[in-house]
Amino acid sequence: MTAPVAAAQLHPPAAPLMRAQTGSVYPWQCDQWGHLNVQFYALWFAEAATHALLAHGCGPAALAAAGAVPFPRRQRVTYRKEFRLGEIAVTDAAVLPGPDARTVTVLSRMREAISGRPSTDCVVEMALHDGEDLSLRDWPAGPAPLAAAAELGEEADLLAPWPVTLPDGRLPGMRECLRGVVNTWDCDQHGLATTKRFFGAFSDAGMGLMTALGLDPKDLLRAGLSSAALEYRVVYDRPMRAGDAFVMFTGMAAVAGRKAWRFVHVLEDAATGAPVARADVVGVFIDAQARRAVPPPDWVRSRTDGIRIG
Amino acid sequence: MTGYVETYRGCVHAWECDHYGHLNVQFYVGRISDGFGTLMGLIDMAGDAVARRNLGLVAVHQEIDYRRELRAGAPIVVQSGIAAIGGRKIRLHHRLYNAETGELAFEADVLCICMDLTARRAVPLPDDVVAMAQPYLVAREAA
Repeated sequence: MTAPVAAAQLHPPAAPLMRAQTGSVYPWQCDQWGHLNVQFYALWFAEAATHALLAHGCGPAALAAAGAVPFPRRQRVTYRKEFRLGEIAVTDAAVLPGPDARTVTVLSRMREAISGRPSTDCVVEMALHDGEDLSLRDWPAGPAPLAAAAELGEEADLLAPWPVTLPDGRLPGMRECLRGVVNTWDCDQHGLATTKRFFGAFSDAGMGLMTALGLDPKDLLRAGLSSAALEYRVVYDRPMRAGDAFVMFTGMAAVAGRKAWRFVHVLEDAATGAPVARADVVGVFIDAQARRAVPPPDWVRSRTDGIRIG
Repeated sequence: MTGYVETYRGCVHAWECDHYGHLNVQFYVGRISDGFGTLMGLIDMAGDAVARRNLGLVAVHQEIDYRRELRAGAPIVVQSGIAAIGGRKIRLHHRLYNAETGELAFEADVLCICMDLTARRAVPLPDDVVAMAQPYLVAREAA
C-alpha cells in the first residue's frame, strides 16, 4: 500500500489513533431538529472504520480479493455535542483486539475540527464473514499489530464497559413504528445494508413513536422544543440485503432524570419475523434556541407517562 | 506555511457508482464540494459565517482531470489548497487520492468569486478572510 502525499491535518491525531474521516455538514444531512441526523454520524463512523482497517491490511480491495465482508456485531455511539450546518468533523480511529478471537474493536472519536473539541464517540465490534455464505472468517494478520489498550491516551475512556440489556425480541407494549424495505441505494459494495440505513430506520421509528403518542414534531418545534440523541447501543443480529422488507417495533422505556427519554427498538425481518437488529436509544429534549437539555412541559409528559414497556 | 490541508476523508459508496462499475463523475465533483466546505470553515466562510457576512464563494470556472477510476468501497482522501486569492476571486486546487493505492485519482482547479447574497453580485473578499487564507496558499503543482 502506498500512502497519498502528505498534507496538513486539522488537530492531528496521536498514535495509535489515525485520521480516519474528514467532512462537513450539508443542509440535507440535517433533520427537523436542526442538526446532523444520526444516520450521517453512522456513515462517517463506517468510513472511519474502513480507513482504520485499511491501516491493518484490511482495506476494501484486499477484503474483496479475499472474498470477505466485514459486518458489525454491536455498536455504541455517544453524542456529546451536536453538529450543525457547515461545521467540520474530523474522526480519529484505532483498531484493537475484540472481545473474542474473531472480532476486532474499532474505536473512533469525532471532533469539531476548528476547536478540536470531542463531539461524538463510537465503539464498534466487527466480525469478518465469507462474502458468499456469510460464515465467520478469521481476520487476516495485518502489517502491524493491532493497537493495545495501554497505548491509548485520553481515548482510553472509550474502552469503558457498555453492557447491552436489550430484549431478545419484541416486548409487550411496543408499537409498530416503521415499515420499509432495503433498497439498492441503501447497500454497500458487498450488497449489505449499511449501518447508515439501520440508524436512519431507528431515527425514523423514534419519530413514528412520538407521532403515535400525539407528539407531532411540528408542535414540539412551535413550543420551542427540539430533541437530541445522547447514546445509541445497537446489536446487529443479521445483515439485510436489497429487497428485504423490515418492520420496526418501538417502545418507551424507563430512564432516570426528567429531561431524558429512552426508546427501545426491535427491527424484524418482515417476512420471517426474525430479529435483524435491536437498539437502546437515550436522548433529551432540548431548548431549540439555547440548545440545552430541558425538562419537557406537562403537555408532553402527559403523553409519555404511563406507557413504559417491559 | 501549511499548504495543502486534508479537507475530506471518506469512501466511495456503492450507490454512487454507475453501470461502468465506477464512481460516476457527479460524485467526484461532490467530493471537492465536501473539501470546499471544510476549506471554507478554515477561513470563516461557512456555517454561521454565511449569514453573518451575507457572503458566499461561488464557482465560476472549473478545470478537471480524471486520472484513475474509483470503485465502490475505495477509501479516499481530498487535499485542498488556495492557488490564488485577491480582489473578488479565489482559486482553489483540490486533489483526490485513493487511500488504498496512494494514486492520485482526480484533481480540479476551481475559480470562485465572492458574492453578496442579497445583491447576488461579486464583491471584494473581506480582508480577514484573505488573511486567514494565507496558510493554505499553494504553488499550483502537478501532485
